[in-house]
Amino acid sequence: MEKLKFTKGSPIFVRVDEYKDILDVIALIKGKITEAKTILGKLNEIKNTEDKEIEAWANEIEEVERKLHYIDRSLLEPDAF
Amino acid sequence: MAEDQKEAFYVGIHEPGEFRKELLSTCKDTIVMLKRYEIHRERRKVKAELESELTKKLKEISFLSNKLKNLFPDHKLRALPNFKHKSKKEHTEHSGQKEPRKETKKPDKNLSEIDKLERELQNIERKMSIINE
Repeated sequence: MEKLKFTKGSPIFVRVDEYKDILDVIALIKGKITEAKTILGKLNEIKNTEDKEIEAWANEIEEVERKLHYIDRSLLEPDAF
Repeated sequence: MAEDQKEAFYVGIHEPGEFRKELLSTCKDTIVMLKRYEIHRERRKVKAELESELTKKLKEISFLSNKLKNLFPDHKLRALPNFKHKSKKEHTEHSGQKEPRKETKKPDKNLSEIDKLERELQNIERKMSIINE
């Protein structure tokens, strides 16, 4: 049996009822993509907030460390009266 | 008791006001961080929900894409090298018959989700390479 080959540029024909289905499915996919993009936007917003939060945490930890160092120094190296 | 007090030693704190202020400030900062962590935990819940929703949407898109792919005729069954245009009548008769759809393999239940997606990707890449030939 001769093997059928796909030739580039050859036209294909789609049944009219299926053509309508195709358009419907494409419209549905477009809608889903818009929804996915909205969710991605929200996730990106959360990610940016989280990044800022982590940076703030790092600064706060350093601040607490600095204060604790002061307390520690005050207790371990008391000034002579 | 009175004897204990006589023998007790005390460490002097030079700037008690400043010392106390730093101590309270440390407590305050720690509490602020804990409060932030609670807000962060709530946000993570929202994030998890959004991620799950996104996964759902992507699965729906994948399902619809497959549906779209199946709506198009199978390219292997057309475009003969010695293809001749048929008359309008012949064409109408031919297009009335529905072309058989390519059966999709049922995914193995033992495969993990990544393996299934990998298999699907390979399948698509194979088809794309046939088109590019």
